[in-house]
Amino acid sequence: MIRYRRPSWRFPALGAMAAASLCMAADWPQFRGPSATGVGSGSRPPIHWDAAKGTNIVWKADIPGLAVSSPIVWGDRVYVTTAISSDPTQKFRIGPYGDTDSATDVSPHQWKVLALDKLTGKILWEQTAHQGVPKTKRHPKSSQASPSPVTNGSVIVAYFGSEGLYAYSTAGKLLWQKDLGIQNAGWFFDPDSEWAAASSPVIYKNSVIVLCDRQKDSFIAAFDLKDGKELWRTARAEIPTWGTPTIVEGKDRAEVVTNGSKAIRGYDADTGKELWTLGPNSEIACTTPVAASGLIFVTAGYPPVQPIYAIRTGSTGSLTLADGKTSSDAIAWSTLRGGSYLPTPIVYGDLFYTLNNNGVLTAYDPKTGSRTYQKRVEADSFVASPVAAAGNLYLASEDGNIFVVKAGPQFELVAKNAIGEPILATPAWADDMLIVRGASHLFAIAERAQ
Amino acid sequence: MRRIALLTLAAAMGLYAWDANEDLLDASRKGDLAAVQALVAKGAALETKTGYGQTPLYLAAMNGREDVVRFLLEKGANPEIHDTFYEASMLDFVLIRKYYGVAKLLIRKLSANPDGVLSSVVRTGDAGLVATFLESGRPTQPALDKAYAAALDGKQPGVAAELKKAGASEPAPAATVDVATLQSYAGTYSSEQLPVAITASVKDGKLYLQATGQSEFAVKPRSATLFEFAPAHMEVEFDTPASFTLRQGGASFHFKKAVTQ
Repeated sequence: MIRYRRPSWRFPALGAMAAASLCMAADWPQFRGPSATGVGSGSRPPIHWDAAKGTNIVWKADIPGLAVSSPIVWGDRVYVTTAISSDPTQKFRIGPYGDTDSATDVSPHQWKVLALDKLTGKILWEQTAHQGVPKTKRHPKSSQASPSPVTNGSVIVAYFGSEGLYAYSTAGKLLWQKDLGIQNAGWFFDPDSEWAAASSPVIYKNSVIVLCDRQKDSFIAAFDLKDGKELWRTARAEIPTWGTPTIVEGKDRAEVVTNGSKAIRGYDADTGKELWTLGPNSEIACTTPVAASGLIFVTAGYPPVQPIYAIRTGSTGSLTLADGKTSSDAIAWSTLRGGSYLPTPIVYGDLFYTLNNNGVLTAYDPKTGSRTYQKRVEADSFVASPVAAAGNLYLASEDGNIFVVKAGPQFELVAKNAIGEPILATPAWADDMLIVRGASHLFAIAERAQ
Repeated sequence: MRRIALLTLAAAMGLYAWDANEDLLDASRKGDLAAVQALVAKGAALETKTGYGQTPLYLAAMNGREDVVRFLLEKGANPEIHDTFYEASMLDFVLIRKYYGVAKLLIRKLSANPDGVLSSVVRTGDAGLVATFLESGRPTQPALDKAYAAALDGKQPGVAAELKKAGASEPAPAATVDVATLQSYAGTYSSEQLPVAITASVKDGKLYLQATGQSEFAVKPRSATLFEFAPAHMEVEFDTPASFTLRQGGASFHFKKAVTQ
């Protein structure tokens, strides 16, 4: 293990501020970080590392169970969730394949939230939110703890699908819990093919917003962070989906943007009122909307269409394009081919990037949709979403490699680093430290201290 | 007043029928034979459909509910249905999920597209299933011959024996293609229709293909531009040295060379 170069944001002036409610640049409070951008604030993130030799590995923590939830970071803490099966043979099914069956594990599980010290990886506390046999099965490539937790620095909210919504204090005290019912999120074609929920909760003002798209009675709802009281709930005419909603702060209003098979939708974040809808979309929608420069990018990658939409913020009503049109007042550009299936896209620098499950990385002009390049990264399969920092993209493949690709108009592979175990969770940033969840461990990776 | 009463009655009956049909779909999927029998007896529609065009028989079959499948077939349910999303037959899902007992029940009732059914059944490698099909199915001679070649290539002697018994002819010898031509095909290809890359390479005078995440396999030349991988009932035809069309299961996918090796 090596000593981690302490992050440079700890200026005395900032130290005096009320950090509990202020998301600092180094915090990564939710799935894909602040505003779900996937972009880290570090100026000197790691480029090369070797997990087997320990090179640039700050710490490596054993995390029991199976989970594809991302770690989150606030202050000096890293929070992760996990689901521990009592069947020790359970593992992820890695690689590309096309069948639809559920994993067969119906043994008792424990659903946990863990807090780790960011600098050492030491587990500071762990809480068991729930114990029992899972109420729905999981996809073989997914887990019973797929939604990432979210925090505002005071409250940590963990969502475990059918096993409920839990809020903890930073000291690990359970503040409240909610049963949101059975979240049978599975194959639209056969409800017995259960894949488990994966949409992560997000925080807006004093509320946590949860998207519950399932086989019947889908909804989106907001709960008071303080006590879990339901603030609003809006029914959704939706089948199961897995993307995380994104809060987009506009000039006059804040929108909750949701991916969805039947429609991509925007809601008023304060009331839950539906503001706009857009289709058509894939019958399976998994990615998270991404906002940048007044546009909201939404992709999906399953038949019958694999769209990319660049939606102007502040739109209202039906945004669905007339036949044959690819743009309108509300849609800056769109295409019905090329959308990514599982990895959420990223806007970084002057480009918009999609990463398909097969490793095809495509860069577009985010304003026009014109393609800058397309290149296949040599790995079998990607499910984790790209993140970026200090001029590079970080692409984590299922087989446990992280490809560092220079951001810009030409593809340039800078490095390929192995962590030695499968990666299905999207990595997180803590300033210059990359936090990677492998199948069994959490790795903190940073350039060696000088 | 009487008209209103009749309309109300009609609406109520329509609602009941809808509920009964929904219940029949649900019971068929879950394999609840007693419920299926009761609902059919009460008049639920045998050919009612989900939003994706799945009938009660389709749902029972794709979930391996053999008793329900037998009952619905006896009642005259149509086994030829294709869904409206994947446009797949119920037999396709039954074979993927290896419900061979259900497959035998369906095969005995199928009459449309015997060549397609044979191709699907041979791909399972299950000689018993092939024998069941050949007892009632009437494939064309080219389909029989192709299936036989596939069984030989796939080293499935039991399946090959059944096909030979049914009159399959010995396959023609492979064509000879010079290495330079094969080498011109080498490279990595991608398609806008499928999220996979296919790499073509030449080893020991043979053309190999490898799809993303899958093992490589040698393809057999039928001509200088047409290659076949019989075990997967797949054909690859090069339009130019930089593009090919892949045909499988009645579908065609166009691939363009992205990287030259």
